Amino acid sequence: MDRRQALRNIGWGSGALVATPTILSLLQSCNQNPGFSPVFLSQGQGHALKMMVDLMLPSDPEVPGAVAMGVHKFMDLYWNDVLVSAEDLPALEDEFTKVPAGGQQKSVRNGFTALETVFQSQFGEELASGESEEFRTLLSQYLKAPKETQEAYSSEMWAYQMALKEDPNATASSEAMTYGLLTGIRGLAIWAWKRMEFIGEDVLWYDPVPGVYDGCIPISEAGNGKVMSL
Amino acid sequence: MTHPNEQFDAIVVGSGISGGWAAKELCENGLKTLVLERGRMVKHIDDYPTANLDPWDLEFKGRQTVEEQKKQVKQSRTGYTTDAVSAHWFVDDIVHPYNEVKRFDWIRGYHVGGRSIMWGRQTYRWSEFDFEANKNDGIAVDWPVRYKDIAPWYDKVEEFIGVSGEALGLDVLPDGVFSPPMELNCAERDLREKIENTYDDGRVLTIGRVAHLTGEKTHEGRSNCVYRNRCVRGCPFGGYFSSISSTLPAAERTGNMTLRPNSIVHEVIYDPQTQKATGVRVIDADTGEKMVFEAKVIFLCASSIATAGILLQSKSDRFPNGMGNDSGEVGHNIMDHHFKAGAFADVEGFEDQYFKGRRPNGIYIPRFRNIGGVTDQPNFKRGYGYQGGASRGRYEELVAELGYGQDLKTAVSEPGKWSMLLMGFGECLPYHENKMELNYDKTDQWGLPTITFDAEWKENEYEMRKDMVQQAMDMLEKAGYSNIRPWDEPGAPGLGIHEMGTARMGHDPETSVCNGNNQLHAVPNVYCTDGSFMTSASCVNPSLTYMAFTARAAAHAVAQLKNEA
Repeated sequence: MDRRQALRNIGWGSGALVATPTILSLLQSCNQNPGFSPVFLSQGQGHALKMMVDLMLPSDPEVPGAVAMGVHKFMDLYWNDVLVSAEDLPALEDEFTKVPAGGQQKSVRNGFTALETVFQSQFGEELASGESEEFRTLLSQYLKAPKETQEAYSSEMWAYQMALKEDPNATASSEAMTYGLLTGIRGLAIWAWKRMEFIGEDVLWYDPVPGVYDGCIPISEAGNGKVMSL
Repeated sequence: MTHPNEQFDAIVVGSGISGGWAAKELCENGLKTLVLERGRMVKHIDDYPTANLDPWDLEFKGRQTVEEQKKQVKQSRTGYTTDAVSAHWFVDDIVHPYNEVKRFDWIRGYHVGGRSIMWGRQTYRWSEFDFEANKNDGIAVDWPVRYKDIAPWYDKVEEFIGVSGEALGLDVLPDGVFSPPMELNCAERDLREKIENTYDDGRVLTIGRVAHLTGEKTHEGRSNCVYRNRCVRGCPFGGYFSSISSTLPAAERTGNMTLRPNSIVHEVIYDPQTQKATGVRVIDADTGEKMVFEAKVIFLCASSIATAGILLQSKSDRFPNGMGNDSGEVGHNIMDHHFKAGAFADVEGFEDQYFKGRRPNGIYIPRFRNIGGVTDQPNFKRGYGYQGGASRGRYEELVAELGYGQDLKTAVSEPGKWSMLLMGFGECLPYHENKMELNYDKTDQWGLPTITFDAEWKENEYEMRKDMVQQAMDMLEKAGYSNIRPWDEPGAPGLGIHEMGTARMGHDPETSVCNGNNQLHAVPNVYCTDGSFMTSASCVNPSLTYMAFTARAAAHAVAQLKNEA
């Protein structure tokens, strides 16, 4: 049963603000099995993506996280259908409109290749065999690295993107590429998670027809601490 | 060739912001009017398929697939027009190609209502500074019109369309007929106060003046803005002005309007005997059928580029270079506004305050440069205004600090930090060499010539941009804001979607195309009342001025016809 259908069967209107643990476990069970067969990523890469977005935006008893909302599946399809491949380039570029060298899909693929290298050298195994704790170690290493380290990775990635414009064979270190991939995944995961129906309607402040604009009011009268979802 | 039997008093080419006004005024004055629109039929409310969709209702949360992107490579240069919620309002670049000697972003919507459905809705009057600018600077040609001539028409248009705004009593940005202004938010109020206390050159921060209904006054078939900020999709509430929610229904109510969509006008027909235009040649976009429609008066409201394209295609013995083109200025002097120059900052504090509603509007800082005394600048002519505003939603530092996990998830569910953007919108000077031409070697699927652009920003625009960045940074710094980031992305003309100037007004037929009544100097029953007639660009958004001149020109045409009768 998919999650949306589950919600309908429960008769859950948009008025409910907090999901009870029972309902949540039901929702989560809809997503845990049967597995995840990525269309853009390899099986191992898909496994890594799912593990990592689960750690980035985990489920808690009140609010479902990225995996429970299917964010990993969304991202895989998004990369497949929205990002530009090398074959698509001629139809999407002209003299004045430029797409990153090799296409946008290539930069995601390069990121995953770097991740595979880093993962292999650190844990001596393929992504497909990676355990949650290993991915946690990796995320800590990169996304909680000291500010200076993160800035150095960012600068290297920036230089790499610039170099790519001139030379399609430009490279960066696997570490910088991994950092670039992880921050990219995090950004897209947050963006997509906030745009999932349940999150948008029942977790964040859903106000489809405000009717008024009050420019400066206490937060207690405006979403009660939640960001507007639209 | 079909000659429909029906006879019309007037033909209006185009149904957008100018065409709608021409139709309304001509019809209300009793003229049987044919409105020809090259695009498909669109009806207010019925044809807003995305108006109520939330991000989760859309396959990729609003992003286009690669296959969709391939059809709108040029239209997507804005970064927002081709999201899934609004892509259907913008043309297919494969079906409607154009050529660029230099980059030009020609962003178009071919349907009834034109770009009045997706416009930015910022609504400002021109001032005497603007009408006198060319004369005072010795640039291009003088406007044959002054503020006092157009002011009553601004009143009329504002009354009808509904404009929300704050009266300021400034010479540089005359007040209009306003309904209550939208509110500034907490951070914007803070900046307004700080600017007021810091500068003595008259600069002031106000809320944008927008064509949204906010007051008590009734506007037939429309209701007040409900602050969804989904205007670009078409508003089922009629909260903002478009020709399909407002002027075209008014024209329709008279019983005098015939609206024909899918009608590509490509030529105005000239009669050497009477020295007037007799009608237009049309190709049906769907069937390819060729037709002629005749009328006593013709309003070209097809948008600046398309109107010039029609004039250039209207060749005859009398006008071998295109109708009304004795001066050789048709297609030249293309202007737009240059923008995307300014600065961002983070605003500390106000964490316990938020806002309700998504205001479809931002702040405005009216022009404060080159208006006399201390405001005069040595490095550039004319001026700019700032748009932008404050919002909550900056997470970058927070996300970097938290890294990943439960705390991150909680943080991104909260409103985020306040940030402020000040973005200049600058005047572009009219340069004869900034032009468009017809390309008969590359024709479209109807066999009509495509358009080739050759236009660019020049030194005055680039010098002005330096000041747009510096002054934005200065205001944000003096306000005590943090993490101030300059921004300067000049892009190319067209991106402001304010293209204008291709059939400019002037006193002298040898140097201009239209006279002060928007008539072609040489063919007095043809009026150009879209952006084409603009002699200079000002720095304010131009739509209100197109509407006011259109209404004024329509009254002129009606009076002329009555005199002849």
